[in-house]
Amino acid sequence: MNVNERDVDGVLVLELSGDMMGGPEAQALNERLRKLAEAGKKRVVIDLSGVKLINSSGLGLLIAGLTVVRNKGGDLRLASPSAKVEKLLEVTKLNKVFRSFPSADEAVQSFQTN
Amino acid sequence: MIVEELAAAVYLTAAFVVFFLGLAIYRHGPQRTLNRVAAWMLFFAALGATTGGLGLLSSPSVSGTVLAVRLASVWELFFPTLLTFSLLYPRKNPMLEAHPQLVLWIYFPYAFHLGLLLLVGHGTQFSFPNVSLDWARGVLIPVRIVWVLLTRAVEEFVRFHMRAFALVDLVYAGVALALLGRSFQSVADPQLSRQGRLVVAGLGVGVGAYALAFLVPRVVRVGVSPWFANALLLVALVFSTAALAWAIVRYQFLDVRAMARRGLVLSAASGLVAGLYLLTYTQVQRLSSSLLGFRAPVLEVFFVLVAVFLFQPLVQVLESSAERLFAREVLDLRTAFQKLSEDLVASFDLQELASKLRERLGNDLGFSKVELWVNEDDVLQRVGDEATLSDSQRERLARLELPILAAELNESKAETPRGNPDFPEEALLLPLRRGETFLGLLSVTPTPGNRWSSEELALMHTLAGQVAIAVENVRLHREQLARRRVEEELALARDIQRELLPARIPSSVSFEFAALTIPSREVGGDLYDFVEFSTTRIGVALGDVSGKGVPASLLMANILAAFRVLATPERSPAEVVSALNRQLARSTTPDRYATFVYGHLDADNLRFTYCNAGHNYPLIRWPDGSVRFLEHSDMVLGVLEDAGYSTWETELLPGSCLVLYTDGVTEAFNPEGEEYGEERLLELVAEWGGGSAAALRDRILEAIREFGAGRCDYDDVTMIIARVV
Repeated sequence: MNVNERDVDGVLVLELSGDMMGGPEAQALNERLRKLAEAGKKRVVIDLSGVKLINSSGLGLLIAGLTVVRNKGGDLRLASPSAKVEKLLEVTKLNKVFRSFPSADEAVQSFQTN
Repeated sequence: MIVEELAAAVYLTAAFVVFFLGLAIYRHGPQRTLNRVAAWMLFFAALGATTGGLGLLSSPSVSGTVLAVRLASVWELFFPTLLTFSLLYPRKNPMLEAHPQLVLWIYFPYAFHLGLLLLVGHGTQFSFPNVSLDWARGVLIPVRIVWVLLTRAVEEFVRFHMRAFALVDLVYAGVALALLGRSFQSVADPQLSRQGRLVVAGLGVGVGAYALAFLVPRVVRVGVSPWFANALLLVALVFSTAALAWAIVRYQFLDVRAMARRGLVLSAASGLVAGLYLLTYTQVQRLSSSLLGFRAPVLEVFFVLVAVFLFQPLVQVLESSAERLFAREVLDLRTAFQKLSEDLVASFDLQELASKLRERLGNDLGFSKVELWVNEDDVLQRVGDEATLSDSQRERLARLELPILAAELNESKAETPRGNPDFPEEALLLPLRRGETFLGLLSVTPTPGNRWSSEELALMHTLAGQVAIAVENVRLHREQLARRRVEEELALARDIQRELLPARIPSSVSFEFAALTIPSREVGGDLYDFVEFSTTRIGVALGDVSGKGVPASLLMANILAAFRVLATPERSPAEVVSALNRQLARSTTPDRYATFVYGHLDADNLRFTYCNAGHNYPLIRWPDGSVRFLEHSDMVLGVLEDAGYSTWETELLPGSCLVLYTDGVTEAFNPEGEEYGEERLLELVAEWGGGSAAALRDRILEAIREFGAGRCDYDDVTMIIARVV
């Protein structure tokens, strides 16, 4: 799993690509999110367009990230999930926890409007 | 005649040895002024001995080219170099410190002397050109008178200079020896003092004998028999050479030591062979010419060949006797290192390794303190008493690439308390590294008063490499043992987990069941359970904990235990799942969650009432072959404490088949990276002609294994098949 970090209008956009199947890099991402949240970066968009596979550990990573950011009063939103990820979010009903948008721009936009 | 040749052989041998000693001293510290000066001093001495030896061989009538004879005096530069040496050794004289240009003044008289020799030679007669024209004679008379007077004056001056210059040599030698002698009175270090006394004695005897044999007679104009002079000088030369060699080999004069041994042997052998060659060759040549009446060049070739053949065995004899002479020395590093490397290979324990190092380096080689420090989990710990170093010190040591003296380490950072008892100033710290990894440290302290020679440093560096390999071996061995222990524990955990799952599948008149779980690792995060409320009402549960391995298996055991308490006949599936969710949400972080499905199979009402907490949709097959997923689910367990759960219901018919499965089934991948998926499962179950629950279970397992080409070990695979009889 690779992570590309960028800032769009004060919103932290993390582009993930590859497989989200847990592992040490997931741990590293979690740590990074925690540090950023502590530094005040509380508006986060996770762009999933490059994610091919996701399993329970990958979902766990998203939930952990969300918890970290929400505890700081921010939010973590998902952008461009694949049909499979969307299905998984639907089955697990985690779509009630995550706000998900068709594109990163829309996800960033959503922070500006509310 | 033979005596002169013998003497020449000794001269040449001494010259060889002295030249080599100079070379060894130079090689061991070309960057140090003291080593350079000492080396040049010995080179000039060797040149002097060579000149003397060659002078004995050549008859006075045949004295080579004039230039060669004049150049022979170059060796006299020995005297100013000796004086310079006396100003540098054992430590730089304050006088030289204050006036560095002093050296130029020391060499100035000799530059003049050599220049004069090159220009006019030892005692050249100047003659006025003969002029045959009569008229010119008269004119030239005053010129001639001036010329004669001038040349006489020059000749007188040269003669006087030659005599007086011997005095300069004497004064230089005297001052140098006095300086050296005085310096060594104040030296406290016993090692350095012994070494210095030996060097001074060697130089003193050599220079003194030369002065007695040649310089003094020249100054006071006393005739000394050449035989006596040569004999005196020979004895002195042998003594001086031996004294210098001994100072180097025994007392590490200028840090040169054992490395010089082999060179000494080689140069002594070369000198001996050359001397023997000259001795026998000239004798035989003389004999042959008197017998045959001509010089036979073939003999020369023959003798060269003999000399070449003789050289190697002679070197061996000399070397073995030198070994015998020095073998008693405690500091025979090479032999001890050889033994040590054999020991190191066979060590599988750090304590053992440390004690072997102490034994070999401490007892056999006489180092006073030998310690092994090991870097583990970012702590540098001394093997034996577990003493540790501060983090800052450890970090500094971890950066070391090459051995360093503790004194230098202390100097490099002022914050380190000086006189750290762990590392005495003279201790050598050898970093133990394998590639980028810092494995630890070997600290070796020499006996008081001993300094490290460059040869010892090089050998210790090599030893550090071997110790590093040994330390890594010990570590790998230990890791292997630890891994084996973990494997045993995991096997135990797997057995325990298997015992947690239902020991037997319920048998009922109304339902037929089959179940299966295959963890992808020793222990897994999947779980299933049956609850028999009555023969016609049976609860089935199946879940999947996020993550894998031991953490997942602990949570799985936790959920299973809670479920068994919660699942009573009167509680609806939603109530049970809801309670389970609350427990899990309270006891774990949100990223540790589980998907779970729990339902009641009721044969009396032919109903399946269930609650699905984010789990893969159960699959149902009716007797007519139609299949569908039960697409109702709520939030996964453990994320939101107050998530709502509802119970859903579906109709059953005799012959209906319910398939509960985890994502290990649908997420089996084929070699092309394609997923087995829900569609394929749906088709398989639809096409399945009917039969026992166990048969369907086996059919599904076979299908995913076939699909994954034998590789469906990516995730835990778990299934429950329930068929209405």
